Amino acid sequence: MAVSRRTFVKSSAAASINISLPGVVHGMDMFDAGKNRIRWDKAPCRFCGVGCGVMVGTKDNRIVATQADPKAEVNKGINCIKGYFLSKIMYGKDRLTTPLLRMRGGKFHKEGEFTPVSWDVAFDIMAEKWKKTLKAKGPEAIGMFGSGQWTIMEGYAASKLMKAGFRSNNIDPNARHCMASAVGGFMRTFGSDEPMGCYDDLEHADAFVLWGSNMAEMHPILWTRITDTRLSKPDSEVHVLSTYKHRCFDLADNGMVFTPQTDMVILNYIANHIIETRAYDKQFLAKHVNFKTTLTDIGYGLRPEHVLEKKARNRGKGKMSASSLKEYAELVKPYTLEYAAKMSGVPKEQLLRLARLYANPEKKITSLWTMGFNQHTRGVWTNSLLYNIHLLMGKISEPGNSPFSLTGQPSACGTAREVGTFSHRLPADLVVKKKSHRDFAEKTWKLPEGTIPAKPGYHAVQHNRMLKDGVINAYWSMCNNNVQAAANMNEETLPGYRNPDNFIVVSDPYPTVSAMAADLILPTAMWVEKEGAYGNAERRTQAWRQQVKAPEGAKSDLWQLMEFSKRFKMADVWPDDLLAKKPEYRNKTLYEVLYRNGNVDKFPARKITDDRGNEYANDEMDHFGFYVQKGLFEEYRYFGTHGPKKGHNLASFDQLHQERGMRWPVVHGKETKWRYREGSDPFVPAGKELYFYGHKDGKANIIFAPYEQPPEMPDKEFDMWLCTGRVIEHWHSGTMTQRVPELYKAMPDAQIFMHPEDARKRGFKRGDLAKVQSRRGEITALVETRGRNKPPEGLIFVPWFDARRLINKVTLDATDPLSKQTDYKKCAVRVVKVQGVTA
Amino acid sequence: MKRSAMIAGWIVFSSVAWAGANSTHSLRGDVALDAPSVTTSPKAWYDGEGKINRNYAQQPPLVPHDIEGLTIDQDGNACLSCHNWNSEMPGATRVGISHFLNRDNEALANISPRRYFCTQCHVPQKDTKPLVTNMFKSLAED
Repeated sequence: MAVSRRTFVKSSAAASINISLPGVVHGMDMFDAGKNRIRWDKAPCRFCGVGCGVMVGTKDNRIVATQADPKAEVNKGINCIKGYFLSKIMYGKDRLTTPLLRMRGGKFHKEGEFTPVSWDVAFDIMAEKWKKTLKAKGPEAIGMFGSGQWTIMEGYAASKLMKAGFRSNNIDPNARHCMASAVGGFMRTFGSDEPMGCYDDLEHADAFVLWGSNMAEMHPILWTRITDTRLSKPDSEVHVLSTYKHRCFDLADNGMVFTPQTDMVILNYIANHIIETRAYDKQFLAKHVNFKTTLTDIGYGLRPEHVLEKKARNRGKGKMSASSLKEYAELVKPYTLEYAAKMSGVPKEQLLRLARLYANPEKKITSLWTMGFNQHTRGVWTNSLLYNIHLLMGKISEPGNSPFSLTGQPSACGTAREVGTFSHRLPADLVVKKKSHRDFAEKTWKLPEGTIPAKPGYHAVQHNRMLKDGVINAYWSMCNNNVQAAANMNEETLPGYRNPDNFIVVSDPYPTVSAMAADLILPTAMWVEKEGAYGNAERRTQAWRQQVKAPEGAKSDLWQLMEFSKRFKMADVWPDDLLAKKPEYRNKTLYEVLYRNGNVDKFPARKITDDRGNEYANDEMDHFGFYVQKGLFEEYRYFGTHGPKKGHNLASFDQLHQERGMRWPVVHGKETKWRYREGSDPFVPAGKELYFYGHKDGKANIIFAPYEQPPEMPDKEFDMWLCTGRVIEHWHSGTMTQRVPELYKAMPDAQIFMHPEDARKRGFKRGDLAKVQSRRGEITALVETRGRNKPPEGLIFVPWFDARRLINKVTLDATDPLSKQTDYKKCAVRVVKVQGVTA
Repeated sequence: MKRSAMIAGWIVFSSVAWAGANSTHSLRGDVALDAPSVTTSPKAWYDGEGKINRNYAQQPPLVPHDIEGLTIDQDGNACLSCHNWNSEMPGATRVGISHFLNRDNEALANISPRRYFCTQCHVPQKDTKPLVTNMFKSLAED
């Protein structure tokens, strides 16, 4: 675009902004082949679960540009503001390049200063602490916190190291905070994790309903697809439900703000409406659905001594019983329009419009949700309540009719869920508590029977509690920032990290809040500084090549995991009776048993090139001497192609490097758009039309669950709801995006989004500093009454990206008792003046 | 693309430079994790004339002015009143031709509905210094 006007520089502006001036372009320089040439190669975006394709521009071992990939089906040439600035995320000046150990007087000291040490020294002290802990207390005293941002290969290598190597199931990903309730809903309703539909539904649907999802900011590119459909397809409509107004309301035909937790009432009301108007699909129900009820009064995932847990009759229980349409109709009967309107605060006519939409057999509906449903003390129930509605109408598994669980992280599906880095899972939907599943994993991994422990390990929230209580003593956190992310930081997170009995290791590219709470920090390579693959929300697996070298000293998570495993002899980690079953392993190292097992090291080192003749580095291959990523991926893939749970077939490693991602199940090189549907999903038996094969009888469950109160609600002392979340400019805890000046300047501070009347009543003006206090802690932030989020009276929204005001000091660590996922959307707070001037 | 285009300068600011081990800090600086929040104050939007340099040709331009009070919703898009391709507002950057293509790469008569919400890609800037120096090097600096 030509720059052709008066341009001058304001003196104040020049200090912080680069102003462009018209310049003379010299043609010969401009087209000089060497200077002008950028090597472009594909990669998935580093940020959210949408999984956009980007083209990474590299020159002289540095990323010089990124752009949206026009060939990527997900985003077809558009990125959001974060994606456009991926080029800068690796170049924050404070990248870590050496391990840092807390030392005093030349040796490790819990209260010492962070001191540079070599990788050797770092692994020496780590191995010493691990061995000491294993010897003293056994494998249940070590733990690992992983990530939905790990590559698939990293998550797989970590899971194997923990579950098979150290024989501890105390590995859990940060995806526990984000997708565990979605997993619970899928497993209970369909018997198989992840959505049946795909993003193509966004062009096929007539109507979209958002339940607790601010897609305009959190899934921006999917929002561009919905906007495209809404504005170009006659009679299409958008319904948005949330506990506060946000940017999605700008496109809404029916925007509804409801009282927190009453989404459960609205969902049951819609089911009741469908039944009372006899709109349900009788044939569909007869052929494809079983009815169930679930135990109620299940508690809130707090510590067992908490009064609410003592009161709960069925604490943590998820047992379901057989039911019928007739019984179900009776159970949803109390959820009338009047009751729903009264409980939710949403006007009757708006609720009725929504119910009629679902009940209209002519309308194709895609329902979408994220953390509003998942971060919910009844998250598993609520996910299923939404499936109930789609199943009653038979609106599922076909283009446009799609209950679609959106994912938060770039590989929450690919790594956390599919690889099974949860404390209870194994790859491809297998679980540790089933003997046949463990048997299959052990056989695949060439390990003796009985290697993998049958008892699920501690989940994420439990990790922090067990660290505080000194039950877990050796702990490694990778690819996440859980001190900033976990709820109730003052009472449950920091005490565990700083417990003198514990040794805490944090691997990260940057000095995060978690790193500062650790004892040892390991400098880590990130994103395209390594080869990897991610799996997005629509079951699409996407691979990328290493584009640049990491800064000298920084190593990938994969390198760290495998290198650390060399420090252990099998006799250090396995008991004699297990070793007796495989005596040839006795003198080997963990590294040899897990990663030199003939599978992982099957593919020799080779040159990595693309079809244009460009060459790429692969630092792990150079170091270990074989194609590590391919070996890990292909061993992992075997779980999907040969494991006990069908329909999890992934594309081959080589094919993934050719394609812009493939949606599983992939059979004979062909992807699946709609699972369970004949003609689209190759696992549906001929003539069945639709078959939910996650369950033996091919049927999905409609599961009734009632409305139950949240654990903490506003009262006289703490009179407001607090809801936390993200903003478009920042990714999670801001480690990467706060270091990109353009993103930082677009949203420098986490603010308190508040209704103007609430501010006025408390004596605040917009821009005043205020304190947000709960029973657990407080932060100070600026009041925003006219921002992008417009809460109703009685509720505030505070984002959690800002390390300088840690809102998780305020939040409550209550979880869904079934999924163990924290509810970050509801707790009671008050907003008060800051005494004096200091923040 | 040449040095001549860089008269205003690529001024790099240093704030939280990590120099040595004893000064390892998170984005909180030297404020301890269990200490109260780091203080802050309201910042004005950068609101001046001239455009903000792009780092590379494929980067969406940043918004060099305050956009508070401007709305984009089903009823209208306030940005387009100055930035549409046929706008006569002097100095306002016109939407690029990419914005007229649909998902299938077909040219449309007007802005593609997929590009309707401008703020998904274009953001204004607060008049403040970066929190951390970024060492990214634009090709424009060569």
